[in-house]
Amino acid sequence: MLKYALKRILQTIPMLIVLSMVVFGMVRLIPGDPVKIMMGIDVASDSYEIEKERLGLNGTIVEQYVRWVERLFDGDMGTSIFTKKPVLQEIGNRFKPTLILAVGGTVLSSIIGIMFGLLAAIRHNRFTDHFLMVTSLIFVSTPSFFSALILILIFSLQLRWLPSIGLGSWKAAILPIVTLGLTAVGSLTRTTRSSMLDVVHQDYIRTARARGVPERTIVFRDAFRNALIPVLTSIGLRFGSLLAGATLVETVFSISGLGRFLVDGVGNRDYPVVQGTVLVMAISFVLVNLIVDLLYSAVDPRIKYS
Amino acid sequence: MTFQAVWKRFKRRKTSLIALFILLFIFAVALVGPFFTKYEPTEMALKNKYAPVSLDNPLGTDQLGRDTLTRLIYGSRVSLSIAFAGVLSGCFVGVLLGVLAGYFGSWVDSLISRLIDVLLAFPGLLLAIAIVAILGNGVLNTMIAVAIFCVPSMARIVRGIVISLKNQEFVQACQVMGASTGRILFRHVLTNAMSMIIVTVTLDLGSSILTASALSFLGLGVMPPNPEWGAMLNAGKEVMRSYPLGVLAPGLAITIVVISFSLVGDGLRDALDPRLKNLKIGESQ
Amino acid sequence: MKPILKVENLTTSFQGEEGRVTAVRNLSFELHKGETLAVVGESGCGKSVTALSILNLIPNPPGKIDNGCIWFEDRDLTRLRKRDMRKVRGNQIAMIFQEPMTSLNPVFTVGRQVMDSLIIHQNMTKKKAHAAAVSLLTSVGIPEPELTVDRYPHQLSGGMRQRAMIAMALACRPDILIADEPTTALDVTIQAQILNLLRNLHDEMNMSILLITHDMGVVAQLADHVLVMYAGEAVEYRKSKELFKSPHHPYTEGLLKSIPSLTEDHLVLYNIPGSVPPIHAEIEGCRFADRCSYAQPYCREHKPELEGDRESKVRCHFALNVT
Repeated sequence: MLKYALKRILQTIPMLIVLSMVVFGMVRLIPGDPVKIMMGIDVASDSYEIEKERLGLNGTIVEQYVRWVERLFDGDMGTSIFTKKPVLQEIGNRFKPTLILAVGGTVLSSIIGIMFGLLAAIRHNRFTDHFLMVTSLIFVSTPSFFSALILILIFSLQLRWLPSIGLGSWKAAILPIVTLGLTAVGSLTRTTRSSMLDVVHQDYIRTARARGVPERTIVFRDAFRNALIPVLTSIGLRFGSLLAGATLVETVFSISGLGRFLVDGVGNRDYPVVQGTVLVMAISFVLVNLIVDLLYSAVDPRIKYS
Repeated sequence: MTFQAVWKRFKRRKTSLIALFILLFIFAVALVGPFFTKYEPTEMALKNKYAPVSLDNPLGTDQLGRDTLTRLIYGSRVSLSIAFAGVLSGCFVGVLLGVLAGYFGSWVDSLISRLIDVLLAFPGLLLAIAIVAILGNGVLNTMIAVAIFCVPSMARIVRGIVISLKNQEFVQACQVMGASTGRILFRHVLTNAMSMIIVTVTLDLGSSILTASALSFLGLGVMPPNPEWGAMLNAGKEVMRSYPLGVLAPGLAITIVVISFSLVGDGLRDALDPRLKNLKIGESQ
Repeated sequence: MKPILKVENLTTSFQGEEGRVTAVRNLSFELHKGETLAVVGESGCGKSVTALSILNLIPNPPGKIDNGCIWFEDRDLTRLRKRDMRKVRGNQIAMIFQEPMTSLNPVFTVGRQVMDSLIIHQNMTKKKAHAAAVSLLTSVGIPEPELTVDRYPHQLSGGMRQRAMIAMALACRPDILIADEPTTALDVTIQAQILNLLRNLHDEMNMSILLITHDMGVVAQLADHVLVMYAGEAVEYRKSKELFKSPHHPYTEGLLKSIPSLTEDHLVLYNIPGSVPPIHAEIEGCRFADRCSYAQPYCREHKPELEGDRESKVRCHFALNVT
């Protein structure tokens, strides 16, 4: 178990290194002179060299990367060109709402998705199954920014039950989390359903029946534990899409989160901000997948004892 | 497998068949619709803003008096051409990388696989946003973002197919008989992977419409006043209370197109190869 | 003596791509207390379907018992309510399967799966069931039973898994054990061990065994009686010893001939020519006629019935070795 955990943790390190290189390289891929684009000043200008150094763009590309990583370890992600504040501090201020959205959406969609998937598998090829499959297809295919607007139209503007702005109270959190969660319900329903249908035909389920285990126990204990393994992977991947998808929900509900910060950064050509947010989001995604992999061992003894 | 055989099996799934007709209708509208509209998509008529649904304006007009149906029709051109151009070029690159990685193995495979891993490490929309951050906004750059978005999942799928095919006897038999590498690649490996590729492309088209419209909605993709569906939603949300159709029309358009691509993809998968059971739309996001 | 299990006119079919396929056709047989009855035949002859039909484990859909009765303790198992059937399964009639690799649930410990039937059928507490599981594992010859009880299936070898399966099946001391190809997936040396174990347990517990196999060697070692099936039908029913000495049905003769023998100077592998007819083909005469070297034109037109006395039955117009 410990060996497996250690192996998985070590495996993510090269991933993080390459990831950091890509995010570092982003700014260098911008067509044109980044100093000019970001600061709006020409090579001829007196402050050009100063600004170039401040942005960490002086020296060879290797020197630049090493310096950039060193600063990262010191918690220095540069300064926002637009707000003139340290990027890390700005990210810290905005990380919580995004995390609430992504975690809330993941939990909500996991609960609904697994329930739907189980139900569809139990009622395989009957009305409930078809109905849930159509529903999940609609959930997968509706853009979150559209469903968000529909929900606002109904619950905020018409019924006046829930606020449509911010994430201040639990009431305000309902619509954004539901909107975000719905986008993942479809794929989790499908994964759970097909995984259950796959497991139900396994030999060990027949063995359990031959032992006289009640059908209900077979579904919820013998089959479900096995079916959960691919569902966990799917939940980990969904978390990533919800983290990035929070950007859209934050935009609709005027929530000052990481995603909105990123989009504003892109709009303002504020590259230190873009680099910082992209890096934080990608690392969060990698870490969540690592946690999911470690969780496997709790469900699947084949990993725990190998 | 002949076209007739595939078509015969595809027809059996009624939902997929209906979805195909819906898509064909929308393609037709995108192609010839602009010749029949009464207005220009950016033509403003401030006196006629928020016009109710009428024969003149079947879907009403927005806050600037622009005819929503006209904008929707022109928008379908933008959305669909971004999706098709982006997905086709992205999938082409993906197939190429996948074949190279799967067929040659060793360091070529390691290199390409790492590239795929890194691209997949950017969750969902984040990759597209990062690309637009580098390239800037606009129709062409949105297309490129969509293309790159399609590369990793396609490359991974094709790589897997090629590796499993490579070890099958008929490919090895060709090698023994002295067929050249390129010939084996294109004659056998690709024809065998084709059904999987077609299905993936169809499903990717759906996800790409979602991605591209999301970028435009964020103000990072196609910029107003260009009538892309996502951009229309963004413009419509400000005046949603007075003019809900401005949101409903483009939103439903996106949803219907995405559902249709998904259903056609499912139908194609069953018709081309019943073994490819578990490939679904959205999973690649 | 009254049989413990009596199958009457069992017909089981499956819904296939091209219509319904009858896997077992009008099958009748009896199993007595303490007896080991082997059901033999090629794969696809319906022997496994017969076993699954008894415990009502035919996946429905696509499968269904169309006709017939299965009498056990004066009750017809085919008409039992789900709940009552569950009380029979694993308790009075237990079953072991061919694939010990896939027949155990990978996410639960061996012990937990052995304890399962004890907790369900005998209302044992977990603690008592755990102790019982350890002694069951001991009785099936698993080394270090106290440790193995908490191990997972993937940590056990194939032979050990099959022993664990047997322990699981014997947990409630069933009246009948159905063993579906219990040794097929195992190495030859392990096969012998498992067969020995089954024989010893059988002697000890005086239970009846319904042994499903295609391996005449296994039959010779364990069975008292043999039921030979071909294309869903019983073709011969005999005492094991007599069957090996003088088979009545040409198909049985073929099966016996195809056992490789090393006593002769050179090894000749015999195989029955042709293959089993497509199971959905409706055949007018004898279903074996096409592969039978003794077949006459009469055989293709007239269907033979299973005829004979209680101890010896055969379905052939021109039965062999009959005086």
